[in-house]
Amino acid sequence: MGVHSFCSVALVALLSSSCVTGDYNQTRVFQPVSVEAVDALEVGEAELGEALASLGAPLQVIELGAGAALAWGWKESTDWNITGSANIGNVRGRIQYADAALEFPGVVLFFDQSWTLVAKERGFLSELLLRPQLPRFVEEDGGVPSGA
Amino acid sequence: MSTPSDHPHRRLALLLLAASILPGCFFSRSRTNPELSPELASQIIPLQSTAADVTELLGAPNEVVQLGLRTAWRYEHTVEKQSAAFLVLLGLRGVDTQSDRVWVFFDADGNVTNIGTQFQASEAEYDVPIF
Repeated sequence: MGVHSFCSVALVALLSSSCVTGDYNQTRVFQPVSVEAVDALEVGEAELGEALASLGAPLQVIELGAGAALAWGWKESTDWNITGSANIGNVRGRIQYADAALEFPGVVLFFDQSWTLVAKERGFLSELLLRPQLPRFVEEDGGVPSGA
Repeated sequence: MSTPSDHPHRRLALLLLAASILPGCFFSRSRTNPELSPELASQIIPLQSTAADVTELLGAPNEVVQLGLRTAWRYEHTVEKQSAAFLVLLGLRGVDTQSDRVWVFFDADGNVTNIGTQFQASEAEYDVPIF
């Protein structure tokens, strides 16, 4: 059997079995905010307008107690997804491996009811935004802050 | 010595084989919500514009967030560009999602207090990854 014939047979065998397939995915969702811009916002001093001017429109705005949390998020990731399958007698087996990054990194700024920055945190949005919130009466907006 | 043309079945088999291993690809673009105009957004002036002005300029918001007696409105236009190449047993896929987004903040009386904007939807790209 010549080299060409051998390659042809090997290729046909490979194609007909299709036992292992792979996907390589590249994902970009939105764009990261400037680290310098976040650092420049001083806790206790920066106002909402300053944050919006330097970071742009947030991804999410969430009521948090008498104040609010504003979140900026983005994602840049690459991942592999490999699937293998085989037939052994009457049994068909399949195994899959994926290393997809599910987390969404970002920055969350916390503001009080007068829209002054009271805290800022970096991390995964799923962790930063899943905080228990206590119910409150909206009539208290102009008074003493309560709730979370 | 024989050639592929000498054997029609063999020629057909070779053509099918070649077609099956040739790389395939696709491109797609999806858009969510109407485009947002920076010019219209720039006409929203904090401490001057009202909820009625914003509605007249941008229409109905995609989301309204209640912040006590205050509110924040979100407008968003998203573009997703996806491209992929298939190399028999290996698929390469790239997805890029970018958006134009405007948040308008109101006080309890419906007056605009702040506005945040970003316009990046046009920066979405078709990009097949090469590792």
